[in-house]
Amino acid sequence: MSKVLLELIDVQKTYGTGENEVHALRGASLQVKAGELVAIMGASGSGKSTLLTIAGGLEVPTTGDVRIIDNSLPTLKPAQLATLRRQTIGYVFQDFNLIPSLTVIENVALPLELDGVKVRKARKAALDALESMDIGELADRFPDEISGGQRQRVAIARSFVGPRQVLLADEPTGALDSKTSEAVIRALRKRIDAGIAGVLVTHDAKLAAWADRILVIRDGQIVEEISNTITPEQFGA
Amino acid sequence: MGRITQNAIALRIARRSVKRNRLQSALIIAIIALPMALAGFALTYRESTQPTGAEFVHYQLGLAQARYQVQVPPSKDLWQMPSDTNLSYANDGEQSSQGQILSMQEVLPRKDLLAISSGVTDFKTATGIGAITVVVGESWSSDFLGQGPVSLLKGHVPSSLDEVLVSSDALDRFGVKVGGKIHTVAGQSFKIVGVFSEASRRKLEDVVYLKTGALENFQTGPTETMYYQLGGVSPKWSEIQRLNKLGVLVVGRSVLLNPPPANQLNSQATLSSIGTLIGALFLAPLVLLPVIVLAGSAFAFGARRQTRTLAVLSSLGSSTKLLRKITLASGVWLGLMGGLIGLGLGATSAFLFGPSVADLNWGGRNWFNYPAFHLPAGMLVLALLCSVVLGAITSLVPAIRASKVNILATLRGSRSEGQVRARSGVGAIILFFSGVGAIIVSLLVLIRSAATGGDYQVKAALQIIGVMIGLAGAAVTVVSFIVGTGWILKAIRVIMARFGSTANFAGKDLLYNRKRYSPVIASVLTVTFVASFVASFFYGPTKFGYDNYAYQYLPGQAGLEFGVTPTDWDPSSPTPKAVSAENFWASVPKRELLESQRKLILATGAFDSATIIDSTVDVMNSGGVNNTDGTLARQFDVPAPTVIYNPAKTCYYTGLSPKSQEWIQAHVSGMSSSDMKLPAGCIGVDDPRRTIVVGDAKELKAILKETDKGALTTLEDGGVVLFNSVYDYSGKAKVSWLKPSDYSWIGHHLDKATKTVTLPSHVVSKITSNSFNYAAMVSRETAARLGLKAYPMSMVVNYAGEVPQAATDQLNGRNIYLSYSNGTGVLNPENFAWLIILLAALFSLASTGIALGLSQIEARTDKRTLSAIGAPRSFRARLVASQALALTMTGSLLGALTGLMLGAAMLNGMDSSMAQFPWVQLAALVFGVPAVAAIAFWLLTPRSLKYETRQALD
Repeated sequence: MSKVLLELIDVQKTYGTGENEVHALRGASLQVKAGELVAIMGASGSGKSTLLTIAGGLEVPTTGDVRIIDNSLPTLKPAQLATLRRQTIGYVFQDFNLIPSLTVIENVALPLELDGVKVRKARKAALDALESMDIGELADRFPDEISGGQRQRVAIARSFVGPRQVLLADEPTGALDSKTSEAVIRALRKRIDAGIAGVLVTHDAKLAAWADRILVIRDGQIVEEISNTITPEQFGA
Repeated sequence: MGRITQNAIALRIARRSVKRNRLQSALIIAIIALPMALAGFALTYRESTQPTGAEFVHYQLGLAQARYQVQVPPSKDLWQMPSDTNLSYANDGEQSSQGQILSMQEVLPRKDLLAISSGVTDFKTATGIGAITVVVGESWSSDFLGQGPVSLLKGHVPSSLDEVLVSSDALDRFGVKVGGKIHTVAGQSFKIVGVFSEASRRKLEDVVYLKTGALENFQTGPTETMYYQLGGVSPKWSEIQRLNKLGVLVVGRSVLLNPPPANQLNSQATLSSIGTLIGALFLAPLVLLPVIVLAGSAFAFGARRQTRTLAVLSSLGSSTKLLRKITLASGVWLGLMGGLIGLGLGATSAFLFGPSVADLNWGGRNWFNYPAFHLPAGMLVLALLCSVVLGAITSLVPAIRASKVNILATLRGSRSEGQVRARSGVGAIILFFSGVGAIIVSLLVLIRSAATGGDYQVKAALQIIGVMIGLAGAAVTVVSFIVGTGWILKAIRVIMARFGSTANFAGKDLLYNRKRYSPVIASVLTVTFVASFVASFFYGPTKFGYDNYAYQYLPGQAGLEFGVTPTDWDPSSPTPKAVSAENFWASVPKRELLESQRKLILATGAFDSATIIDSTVDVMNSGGVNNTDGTLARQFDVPAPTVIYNPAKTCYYTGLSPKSQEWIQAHVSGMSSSDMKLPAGCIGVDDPRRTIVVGDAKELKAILKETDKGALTTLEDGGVVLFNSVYDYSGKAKVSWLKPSDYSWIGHHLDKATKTVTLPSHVVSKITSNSFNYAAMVSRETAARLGLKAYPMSMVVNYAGEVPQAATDQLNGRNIYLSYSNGTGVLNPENFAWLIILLAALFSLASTGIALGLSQIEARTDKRTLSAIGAPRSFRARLVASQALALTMTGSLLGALTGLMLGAAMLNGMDSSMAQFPWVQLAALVFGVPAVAAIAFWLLTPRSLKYETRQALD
């Protein structure tokens, strides 16, 4: 049986106080096992992105617990949290968030270099990650010299380079055309199948079809869980 | 994470980021390079004006071992540094001179010394007669010629007493060529055998070089002779110190090339170094404050530019330490680049323009004031290090802020400046009052220092403490404005809301994006603060000096004065015989003589006008003089018209004041100056003139060099034009008829006046000298009415530019010696203040332009959005211009206010009579810079802007 790598336990997130108080999450719970991809769907403002950022340790829940491989995120110190983000969590943003002043390979190698891995070794791992995304030839280009789809593939390569075990993707194909989107999600799925846990936030049912489970979130609560029996091919992939 | 890896990543990102955002980086580098360029120029220029020991030897000694010059009487307190050209006294202020100046033979009875003397002799020149510098002695000795001190440009050296060398400019003055003859007024003739140049003399100097004994009756003081030791051993430092005490200055080869250790130098030199250190301490905050604020502003822009990169790094798990390091690395990198570029530009400018600046500065250059281009490598490296350290220090705050970056807010592009915090307002108020309080304390300490009597050490210590407290207070005040920028921008928004929709929008944008705009205020504020302080602090003393400079004529004016010299009066007689009144009046200058001189003056072509001035005769001076035995030397004791000064207007110290005795008594009893303050604006005249000019518009214009409508009207209306306000009695002037025997310096004994008339008067404010040649003027009609008799007693000559030497020689040849006591060359405080303000305005505009430019680069996306939704260029231009105006005007006003506060405190504390301020120039800076900035940004607003979505990559 696969190990649970990511677990959210009754997570609540509240912004503001008094009249301005907004409940972004109202007791969300979730488990993701190794080799499993969970898609989270919901309308705008439903709390899906908040759930992802809390899962990624970018935000702290108001109440509840977030556990990544036996680490309770709310109890970690900032430095420990940074180490976890560096070594365990890969995060893919909708708008790529590559560092414009670094080349593609430097961007991908960055988490490893930040972790103290020697430059040559980090670059080798980064190149492997890029090649697994079929963009090895772009290694020495700068982000503003490549297309949007290529940038997102670089971002995905960066998210799983090294010993990452949890991959979180926030609308990773939001800015891409359908053909590029498919290539990106296919690459993502490939990494999940290699044994890491993934969470995908999306509006797109066609994209969600690549997940093992689909959670529907509404007003900060997970209101429905669908075991995905539909194959991407049924969506025309 | 390894420290080296972290540093490498930080440096890589910082370096690439600088490279990627070229325009923004260039502006940030420019803001750092600007002060660094000034520092680079100043350091290099200063170094180039300091001769090295080897240059000293080369230009002063050639192959000689030493040069000796008797300068002062012997004293145990005399000392010199190896490269000094004048002796100094130890024990500040105590010159324990003993007896007479010794002769060189008494001091150093060597026979192998070569004496070279200098002096002045009248020669016949091409146009007339000129007083020419002569150098007597073997200046062309083989130890000097071609060795550095002197060069033979043409011809050969003199071989007989009637052969001379001249400087190249002297050839023109004499109007001869090499081989020609020149003649002294005394009748000696010399043949010019060559053209000579001396490294130590300035260009355009006319000099004749003669052999010893060539010039008959040549007499010069012992201090005017230099003695060169051509052979033997160069004197040791101990020998030089011994000779110093005998009043001899020594330029010694060996001590110049191998200076003695510091412990063998006079301790006064160390004190002088401490003085320099105090000076540096005084200047450092003034220089560092704007640099830190400007660089800090630049780094604030740089750090904000990197926020997204830092957020991405943070999301990838980088430590806060690394985030800080990246911002710090950017600061260091930009500091390094700014330092390198600025210092490089400064040093290059010094190389290219240093000699010209020295020319301007010294009115003609010689080796001494600009020996050669010297690159102060050590100082430049230190300055570069300072730039890097400054970069690091000033990026510290942005770095700490960067390490606390809100990852999600930044990555989502949401940006909220939040409310202006009450905490910052309270902090600003506390800082403001602390700063102003410190300035007030500084004023009190300085007043105490000024009132401290003879204890110079206490006085100096108090002065230093006062100055330092004042500077610290001003710096705190400046910081208070920077801390309170949010509140200042809030106030600006309220004000701008009253000026229509564009200004309202602009004001709101300023407040919302205050972190973007506050560096602009900070930059302008600090630059204006320094400029206002410097202009105020130096303007007051300069103006005081200018106002109290005793010129007799206006700039561009010269004159001739004639006395009454009765033929039957012999003042050299022990009992001069009295002169009859008849003979006296018969001896006044003749108009025909003046007219012929006037024609000669105009014939030179060097003067625009020459006007004969008629005036009453000063019988007090020329007539009714008592002999020492009390008998009257001249018998014509008849009442003469005199313009009467107003004693109430004089300063106590003049002797004319009714309170002069009280003042003297007070000072004798040791009262401090603060206990009997001089009345504000008192006039320090001590020799009031008495004569009255009689003339009309022509003479008035000649005297004033312009038409003064107020004066002319007064003249025409029968009033008196006064050339000094000391004669003014609240818009009236008094003319009394006094007998010479009843005349007294104090009070004029008006009760003995046979007649006194009071007439309306007009004071000519243009004239600030108490020694101006004319006191008062009435029209011919008024003179006739009052019975004033005038004679042609003087001539006033006006000219533009400079009077050629040839014209002066020509007039000298005709026995006409014009007096040029017209203050030419005295630093005009207005021009000085304009110069400082102009420099400050350029610096302020440059920093304003850069800071505003950086803020506009940040605001580019907002402007594009405005353009996309149809905002016309005029709207965008108004928006930017009004923001530029508001920001720079606020910075200028606050900066000028702080600078003036500090200047007023220091000047009032040190000497209240110096507390005068260049209001016009300051107003030009405060309002001119914002106006220029607004216009420039209006004009630079692009016609159209291409819409782009927010850059995901940045």
